[in-house]
Amino acid sequence: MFTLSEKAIDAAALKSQTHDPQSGGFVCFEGWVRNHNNGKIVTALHYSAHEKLALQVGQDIIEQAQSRFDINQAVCCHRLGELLIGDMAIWVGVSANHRRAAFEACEFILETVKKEVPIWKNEHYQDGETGWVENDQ
Amino acid sequence: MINIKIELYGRLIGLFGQDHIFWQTQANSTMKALYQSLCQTHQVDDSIKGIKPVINDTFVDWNNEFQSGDVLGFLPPASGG
Repeated sequence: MFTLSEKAIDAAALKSQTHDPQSGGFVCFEGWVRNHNNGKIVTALHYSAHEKLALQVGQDIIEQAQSRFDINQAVCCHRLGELLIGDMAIWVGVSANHRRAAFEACEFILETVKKEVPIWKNEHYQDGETGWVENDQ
Repeated sequence: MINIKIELYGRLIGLFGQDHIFWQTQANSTMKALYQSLCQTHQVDDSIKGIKPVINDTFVDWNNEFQSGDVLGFLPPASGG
């Protein structure tokens, strides 16, 4: 399942959605807001989205991962709104019978979400300026 | 002439200085022609590289035409994560 959240991501609740008696392993990635980017001091971020398409594209990516890799459960949540340094921006968790598929699916979901889900990051810098960030295509 | 609403996202908000524009244009225009006309009026770069056009919350091709009352959107490259 792919979700968006205006509130702090509850990693424990998301992890519970990946529990599966068939699974022998669980791989998780947490993306946090860091205090620097391209030589500038970052103080906060604002994430905005085209919410309807973000949910649709995000769910398509989860389904692609489920058909491409031998996994049991895959969950991803992306934050929206204002985030401060250290806040969690994205959480990806995958459970699988064996670890390799879980690692590969987790990376696939993360990279594809960053590239394709219509979410945009606006950084706030210490000097008072702001800047839109675009990931490499 | 037809009336449409255009929604802008990400860096396009900064480029156009607003997140939506109400626009009057000729019928049978394509998304590409509309975007270029919009850019010309606002004197901004009209490159469509990396931008995805949307009509009524559905991704479309740049050659798609739109109808009066449609809500159009232009989505720049994503930057989540």
